[in-house]
Amino acid sequence: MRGIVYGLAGLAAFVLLGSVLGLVATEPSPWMGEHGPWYVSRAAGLTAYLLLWAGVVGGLLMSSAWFDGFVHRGRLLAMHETAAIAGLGFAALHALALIPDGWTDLTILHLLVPFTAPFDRSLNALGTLTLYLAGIVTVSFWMRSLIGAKTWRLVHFAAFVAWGGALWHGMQLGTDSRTAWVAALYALSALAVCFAVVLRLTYRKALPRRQEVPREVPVRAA
Amino acid sequence: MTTGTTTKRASKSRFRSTKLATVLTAFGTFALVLGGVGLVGAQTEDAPQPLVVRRPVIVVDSNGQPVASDGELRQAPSAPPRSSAIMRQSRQSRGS
Repeated sequence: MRGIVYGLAGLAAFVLLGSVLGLVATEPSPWMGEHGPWYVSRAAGLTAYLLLWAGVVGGLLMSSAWFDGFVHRGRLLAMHETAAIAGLGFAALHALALIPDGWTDLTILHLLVPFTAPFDRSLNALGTLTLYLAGIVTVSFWMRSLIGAKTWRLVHFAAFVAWGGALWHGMQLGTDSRTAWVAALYALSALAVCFAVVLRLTYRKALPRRQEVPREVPVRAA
Repeated sequence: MTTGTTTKRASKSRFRSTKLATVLTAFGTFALVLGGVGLVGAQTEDAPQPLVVRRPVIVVDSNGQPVASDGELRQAPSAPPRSSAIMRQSRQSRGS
């Protein structure tokens, strides 16, 4: 319960900060011109993708035995959870910053209801659905005891779908996806997820070894 | 008991620092990307385009009377971003 409150408070802080940034960026600035919200949205989208990726890779590395002895699993868990929450916050900022932007003409309804955007409906809907899916996976962090380990595990697998959706949404709709550095970022992050999946499947969590306890042989008194 | 509690506290604070580091990294990444995207965008998308000087054109009717004139200094429209151009194309294809 305390975790949910902290999570929601963190998310609200991100959205609040995003709104403030969006409002500030609406004013013409010497280095961003008149399209501040447009740049805020683009930067927040890329940051959200990176954080979602970090959450997925962190989760995979945490559940394999690859980093045992180097990084504490609790530390990896903290990074995994925080990256997912922060990613969700930046994804919300990515969507919200599009509202004051004059280039896209998107409203809150277009952003919240899939397949209602005035252009690229399916790709925009993919972004909205990815955000919802990432939200469900993130909320499930604190619901394990309520939904059970099996359902929690199943919900956690949806993180791969969310990451894939975010990747496709960014690649197809992103303004910066044609630039060399963003293309390289997408390619390298996809490779890293493949690598982490292979590690997860090959380096399973080591089971604690049973120690051989020497039997005490009763000695008969002669 | 005391040692266990101390260890637990120490590990808890260590994880808190990891969380803080992750959040700071996230904001740092955002600032870096925003700076890059904003600077590059300001140089390419929002940069004022050079003025195009057009010759004055006077449209006359069959009697030789001028009906319209055109030909002041005009500013060329700035290049829209790629997604804006795509949006416009999709709007045109829908006929709206």
